[in-house]
Amino acid sequence: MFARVHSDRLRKALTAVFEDINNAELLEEHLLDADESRLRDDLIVLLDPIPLNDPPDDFEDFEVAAVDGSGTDSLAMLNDVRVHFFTTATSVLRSNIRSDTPFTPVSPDELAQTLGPQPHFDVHWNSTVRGDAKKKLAEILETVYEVEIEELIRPFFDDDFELQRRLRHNASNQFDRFKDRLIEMEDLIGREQILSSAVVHEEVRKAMEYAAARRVLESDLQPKYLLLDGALSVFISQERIPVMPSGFMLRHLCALAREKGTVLCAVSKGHSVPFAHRIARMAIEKWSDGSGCQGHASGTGACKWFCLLPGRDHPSGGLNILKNRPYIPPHLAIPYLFSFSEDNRPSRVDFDWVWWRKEVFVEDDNEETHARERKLFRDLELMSRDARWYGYPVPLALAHVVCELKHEDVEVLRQMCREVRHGAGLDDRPVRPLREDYGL
Amino acid sequence: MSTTELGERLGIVGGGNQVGLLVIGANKDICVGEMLLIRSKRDGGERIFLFRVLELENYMRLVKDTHAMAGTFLVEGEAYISGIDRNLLVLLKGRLLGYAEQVTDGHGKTKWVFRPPRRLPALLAEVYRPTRTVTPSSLPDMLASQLRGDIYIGNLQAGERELDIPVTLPAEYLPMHVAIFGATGSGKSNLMMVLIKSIIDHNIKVLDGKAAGPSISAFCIDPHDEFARGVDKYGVNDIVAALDSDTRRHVIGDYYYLTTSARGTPREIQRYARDIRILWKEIQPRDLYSIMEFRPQMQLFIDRQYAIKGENWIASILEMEESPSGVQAVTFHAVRRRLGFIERSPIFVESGKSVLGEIYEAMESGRVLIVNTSLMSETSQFLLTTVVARTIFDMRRAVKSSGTIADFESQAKSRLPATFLRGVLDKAKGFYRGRGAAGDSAPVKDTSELPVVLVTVEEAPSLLNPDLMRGGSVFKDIARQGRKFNIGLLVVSQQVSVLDNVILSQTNTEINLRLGNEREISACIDNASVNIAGFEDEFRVMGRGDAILTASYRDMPVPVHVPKFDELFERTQAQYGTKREKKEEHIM
Repeated sequence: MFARVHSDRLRKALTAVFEDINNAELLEEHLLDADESRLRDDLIVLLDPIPLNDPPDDFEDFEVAAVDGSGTDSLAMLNDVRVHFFTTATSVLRSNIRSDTPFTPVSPDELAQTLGPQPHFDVHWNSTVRGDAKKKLAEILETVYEVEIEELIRPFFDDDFELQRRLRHNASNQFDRFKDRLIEMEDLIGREQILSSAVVHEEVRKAMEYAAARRVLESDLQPKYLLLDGALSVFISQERIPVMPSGFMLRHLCALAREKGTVLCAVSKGHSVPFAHRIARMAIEKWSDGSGCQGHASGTGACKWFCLLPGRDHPSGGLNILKNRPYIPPHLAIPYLFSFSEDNRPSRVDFDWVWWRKEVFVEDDNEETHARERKLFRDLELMSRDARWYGYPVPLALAHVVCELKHEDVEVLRQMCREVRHGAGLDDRPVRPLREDYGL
Repeated sequence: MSTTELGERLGIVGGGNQVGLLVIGANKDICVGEMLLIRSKRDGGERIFLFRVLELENYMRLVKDTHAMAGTFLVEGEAYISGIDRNLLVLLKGRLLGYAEQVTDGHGKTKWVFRPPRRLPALLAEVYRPTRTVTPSSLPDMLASQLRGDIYIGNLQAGERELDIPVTLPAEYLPMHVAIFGATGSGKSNLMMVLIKSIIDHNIKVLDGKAAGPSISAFCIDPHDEFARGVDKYGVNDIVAALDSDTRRHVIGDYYYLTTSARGTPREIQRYARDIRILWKEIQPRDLYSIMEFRPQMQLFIDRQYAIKGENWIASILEMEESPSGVQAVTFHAVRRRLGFIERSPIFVESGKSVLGEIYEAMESGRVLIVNTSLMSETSQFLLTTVVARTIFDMRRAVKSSGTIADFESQAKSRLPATFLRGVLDKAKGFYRGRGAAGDSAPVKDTSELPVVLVTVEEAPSLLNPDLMRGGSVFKDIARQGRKFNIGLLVVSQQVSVLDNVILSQTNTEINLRLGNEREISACIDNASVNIAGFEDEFRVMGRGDAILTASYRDMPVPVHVPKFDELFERTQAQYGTKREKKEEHIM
């Protein structure tokens, strides 16, 4: 393989690819040019971190929760049957910044009493029998995210109506139009034809993470923030409803979070924001020349910043660079690019648009909006100073560590499958992926 | 055994094999040298493994690169580690010393048996740390075969903590020679004083019938004159003074302190002191060959003179003014020069009263002699040690090769200087006369019934180096055959690397104190009677009085802390004042 990798042909192919990418970016350069002054002067906001040794008097300690999930769609493979394994973990931390041990995790015992043992895991299966994937998926989701369908779908339509109402005067709530068509979980699965094993797995995994988040919101815990791993994406069909049940679940979660007074944040390392590196450079330039700095001299400390990525639904209009990016911002979400560490590339955090419109955005008052944004991001930055994952929220990192499924774990689980089958008197077929028979 | 009885729970077994084990430990104050207990169950059987920490490493759970994390901590001033208390751990790498398990004998009685590490504790087995306050009550029983004996040397050491478990040497193994290795300041002198005290204690027990015989004699060279009076507060003389007269008469006799000039000794010691005087006639040529190099021509000349003049050989050479015929002048003068220190020495005398006979009697009576050599030249000290060692060795050889007392007399006459033998023969016959017939036809005792005699060789490299040992050194004979005659060497040295291989290979007990440099540490590890590979780091951090005891008759290296003589004496002095009929309270 390596001999071929090092071939000139491959080098040429790679050169061509990267030149293509560069050209594509150059073609969009004018869009960035058009956005540059807005980004630099208005959207990029430099952040003054809260000093740990001397927090402001009005700083109130808070609780933060985070949920992450992991899994494999091939725990066991028996002919056309696939056994999926899922795991989720929730971490809850208390900021305690005036103590010697900031962001103290709630003990596993306390967490188990409130949310059940961590990590939580589940096993499901499906085959290629016609309709089986959809039927099974619906059954699984009903179990995983147990809720009346009407209660599940309502928040989406309410939030969507709120958005439409802001954009045009003649908007109407579409709930009544769909409520008789969307009665069972199966009705919420829009595209049966795309239900590959990977899609089924991804949908169940999302549902399990959302279910874990819901447990937090319905528990006695009072987190100020609830962090999810990924984007706050809801993929919408041509009929302008979510294509999959997880979309409805996400909006259901947003409604629950608003009700509880918890800020739902979806943090994604893979932000897929065009020109993110250029935005980061602008932020560093802004920090270096001291413009927009508050509380510290330019060039001192570290450059920490955030940048709203407005879409066309924003009252001041959307960024040009996002014009051809239909999934940024996600439907009913507000994305920000942020960086709390110069050593890492920026990440993205999405907030619920309805919450943001109510709690952060102040019409015609940019200064107040920025002040509220700063408060929000100062908390996010504060929870991102763990030296192990500096710049990334530690609650999410800890949840990830707890549920992470490594190759060795999968091997142990597969061995357990063999033992379980043997114990149950079933035939002793191998369950590992078939390609592994050939060492491939 | 309940887990709380094992001590403080410290960690779990995280990997390794039956030699080198890895323990994942809690973030506690742990030090190299700690001895931990691992409770392991396999196939229904429970074993308590002993694990010794040789290497420590900070470890943080969930962190692949602690260096990067620490760097971040430094660079990003306001960083923290969430839940740091839970995740900070310590990796303990070390040696599995062996394991103890309970076995039931034919009478249904259970007892602990200690075995070498042929087995491995189970993964995730729980690891405990015995503490001074929580020491498993059965630990001494578990380690009985590794710790118990007759001569106390210190307490079992666990890291920096000393457990209340005595470590002792069996008297029966002393004739297989003991070596004390340690750099200056490592506690050799203190250990010698503790050993002397323990030998006296043992002899008292033998006298009282509380310990099986034989008693132990020791000829202890004291190059700094500190054993008798002590270094700080107490010395061996305080033990002697504390004894009731009856015990003192039996165990110490009229004297225990030999010195160049008894008159210059403090009054409290003077009453137990004797001047060291050895007659030239009691010195044999091979005594000199054992302490300094003689060329073959010189040995030929000396041997010829010995053959002609017998025990007057030294005087005859020193009286010569010119080289005799057949001997080159250069050889003659070289021999004269080498014998010059005898001529000048206050302890080697041509005529007068010798103390050698009394030394011999003391050694055959189970007594300890402290020999102040601080005012002697090194050569005189070596010659004294050699003459004493050779005399006792030859006497014991004579006994061993005899069936009756009459045989013994004949054997002794052929081996020992007549001047010496004349003075001790009657007493010697008494020492060696076995049960049975009376008079000279009586059988001789087996040498195993005679007191164990320990001869100290101080500054051992000067005497036991390969160059001297190549010739006919008496110490080579004692090293090889001493056990047959119940005579052992107590080799004291700062260095291991320069000692002769015969000595090292014949020594079965090593008390390894802190050593001076890497070469000596390496030599010590190579030479140990039990495998202590990997203990290098431990040698580097040992404190004064810390030792690793290795012995061929034990399965594991035993960490020991030798107590300060003063503390030990204060703790136990009450026992010397009690009437012997009363039950003693003794630390052993």
